[in-house]
Amino acid sequence: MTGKSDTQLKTELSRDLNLFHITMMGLGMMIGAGVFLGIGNSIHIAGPGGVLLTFTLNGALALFTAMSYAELSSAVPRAGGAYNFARIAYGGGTSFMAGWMEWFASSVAGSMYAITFSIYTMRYLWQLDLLNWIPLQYTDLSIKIMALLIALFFIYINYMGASETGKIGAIMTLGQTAFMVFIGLLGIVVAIRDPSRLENFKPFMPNGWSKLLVTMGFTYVAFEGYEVIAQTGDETIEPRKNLPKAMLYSVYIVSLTYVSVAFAAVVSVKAGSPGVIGAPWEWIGQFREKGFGEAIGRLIPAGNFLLTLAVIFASTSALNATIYSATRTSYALGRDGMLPHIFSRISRKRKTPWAALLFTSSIVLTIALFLPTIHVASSASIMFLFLFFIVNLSVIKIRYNMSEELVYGYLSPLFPLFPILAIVSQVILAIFLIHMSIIAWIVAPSWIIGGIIVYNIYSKSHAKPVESEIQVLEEERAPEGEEEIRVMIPIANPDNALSLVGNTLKLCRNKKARIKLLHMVQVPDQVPLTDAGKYMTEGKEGIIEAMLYLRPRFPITTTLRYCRNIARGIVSAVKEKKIDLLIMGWQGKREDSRFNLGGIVDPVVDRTPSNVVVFKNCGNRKFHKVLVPLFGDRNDLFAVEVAQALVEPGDINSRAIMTLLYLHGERKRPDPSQYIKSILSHISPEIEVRTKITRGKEKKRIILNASRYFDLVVLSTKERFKGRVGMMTIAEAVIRECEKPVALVKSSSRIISWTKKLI
Amino acid sequence: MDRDTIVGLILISATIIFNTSIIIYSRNLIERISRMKNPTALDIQKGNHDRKK
Repeated sequence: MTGKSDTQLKTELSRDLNLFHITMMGLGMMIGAGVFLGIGNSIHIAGPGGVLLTFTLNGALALFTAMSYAELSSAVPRAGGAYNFARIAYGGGTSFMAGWMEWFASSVAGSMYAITFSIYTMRYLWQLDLLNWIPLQYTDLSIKIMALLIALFFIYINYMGASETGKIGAIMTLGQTAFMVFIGLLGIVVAIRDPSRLENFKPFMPNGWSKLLVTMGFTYVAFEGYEVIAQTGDETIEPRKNLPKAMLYSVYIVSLTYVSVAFAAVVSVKAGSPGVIGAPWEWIGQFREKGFGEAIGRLIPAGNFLLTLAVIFASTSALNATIYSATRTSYALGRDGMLPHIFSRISRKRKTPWAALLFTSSIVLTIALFLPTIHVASSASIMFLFLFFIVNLSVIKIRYNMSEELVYGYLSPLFPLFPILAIVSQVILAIFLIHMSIIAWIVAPSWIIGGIIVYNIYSKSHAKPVESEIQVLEEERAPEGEEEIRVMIPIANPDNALSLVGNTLKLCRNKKARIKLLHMVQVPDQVPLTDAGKYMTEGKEGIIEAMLYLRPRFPITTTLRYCRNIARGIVSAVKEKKIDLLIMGWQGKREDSRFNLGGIVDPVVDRTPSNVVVFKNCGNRKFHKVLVPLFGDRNDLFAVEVAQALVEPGDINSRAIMTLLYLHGERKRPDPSQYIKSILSHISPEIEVRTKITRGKEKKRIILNASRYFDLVVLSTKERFKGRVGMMTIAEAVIRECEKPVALVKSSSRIISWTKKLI
Repeated sequence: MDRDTIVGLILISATIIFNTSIIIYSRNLIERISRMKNPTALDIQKGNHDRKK
């Protein structure tokens, strides 16, 4: 997606989330609280067979809606989710209601995750006798206070603009899923070894089949992860393909996991074992929302601890995700004029939408404090059911009205059978939820009526006109030339722009190059990337300055790219644009001590599949004497090539001097003289080349001592399999300490890059 | 086994098989569509791969 700013710069969004990331985001949102609260309650209401059927049938039902989401997201792959789909299908009023409901549903889900965290953490602390000082009558109050504290903590985290990065979040979710799968498998093993536990399923449906509809409605919230996947439309690689896949895969994985976990919960308790009175399912059911914990505590020796740990990870990551999802939605409503302008206010310091977060927080905290757990979960479920009802209506309307206009990546089969089945079943489940919680049926419709009033009084007259959604689908491509190489220069600030430009001119002097100037704009997670124009500030200045100098010599593309993480954004841009050479500047400072050269340079050098040159303190000087340390590997040739391009004679009568310093280590290397000879054949005869072979372990010290006599040091660094944290190449050690200008170079290695990708 | 158990187990098995079939079908469909150039819903329904190439 592209747009144009007033300075004729092309702006685009950074797409750096792949199928794995977004599938894990969906799973992370689903394996939150619904299953932990739902299993005990479902066993209590529907019985041991009912709990299995609840999660199995809900999986199929969720798949129907996931297919609608998959189709719409593939056709309109941009952030916004249900709000966006409703806007295309029905326009103003319905889209407002979708956004209004989504805001409340996500906020209530946040309250539910905070309460789940509190229930399981307090339960564990009580088992350790650490909370015995709390009087019994204050048990519920202490759970509420704990829920408030954890919610406040994540509200603060969201205000600060921080959140887990895609990879850490994905790994955490992978761990949660693995733990749940482990529990499920353990349940199966236990049942095989002790078949008498299958008797726990008798009677299969003790309370009748109608109770199934109650528990299905109650636990439906545990399947609502595809909404968060739809929100990543602007940031996903190949969104038409990956969004529908991620939605369907996550629902499928989660439904199988839930069924196996529910099975494990039922067979975990042996009839007649100490403390178990009555049938095992009745015993588990009596604990209601804590039932799952009690059951798993009997299944695994350290079950309570592991389960508490899993709940802490699951509920906190889901709490974080729901708070920012709800904030984003209310922010978008404010931005589009459907809610007062204050909702779209951004904190100058933190760059986060503080007002939207404030209003979202008030809902999360109020619901968590005043509603009993079961009503909170029911309210979240009922609101999601209403929301998905609108999405299923939207998919039908859009398919019939715009099937010739939109480009699709997925189509729901047997259309419109599944959206209609989803609509009908959602209505039935919502109605049956009244048996679970009358309060939920008061809270949710009240919110909807409130929305209708707000729309008619305020939004209708204040909403901004919407641009045609189809225009967004057009992709802007720069005309391709016959250039030899594609060069990218990420420019962070105007101060170093000119030095990078000067050195780029030298490097590309005799080449047909196409230069891409890039400025990355980091946007907090709480703000959709599409609204990132607010953060475009000093980058423009630097990029325009660089453009003025380079335009007479090379074809230039200038890009402002919005991203969540600058390093990931640069790597993603290099891959997308198939860049051959990346040129960067480094000011010699590390903001984060975990990195060798900094949180941007390290990952970029490590992960970029192109050649890379990083300049330190090079400015716009002329370099007459250049030192090139040779390490006896394939990077040397690229270092020599770069040095050759940068070095120039001092005056008409003198020649440029390049000194090759061969560092002969203890390991077996190529024969030095032969190796240097092969290198020399690549150097222009106009350059005076001097060679020196040294031996010794202290390579860093040798290079630093030698560098004192040169204007520039060109160092080659290696690509490696592991991350860079805690590891440092000699080149990195030298560039950190060297007081002379340094150019750090790395030549691309397709094989290692591919291997790393596979690993 | 009583009637509820038999009906329940059949329902669970049938649903899991149904879900798996939908996933496999959808995956193949997504891959097939990804090889088409700018397909509209009508193009996909007609299986017209080259319409806009």
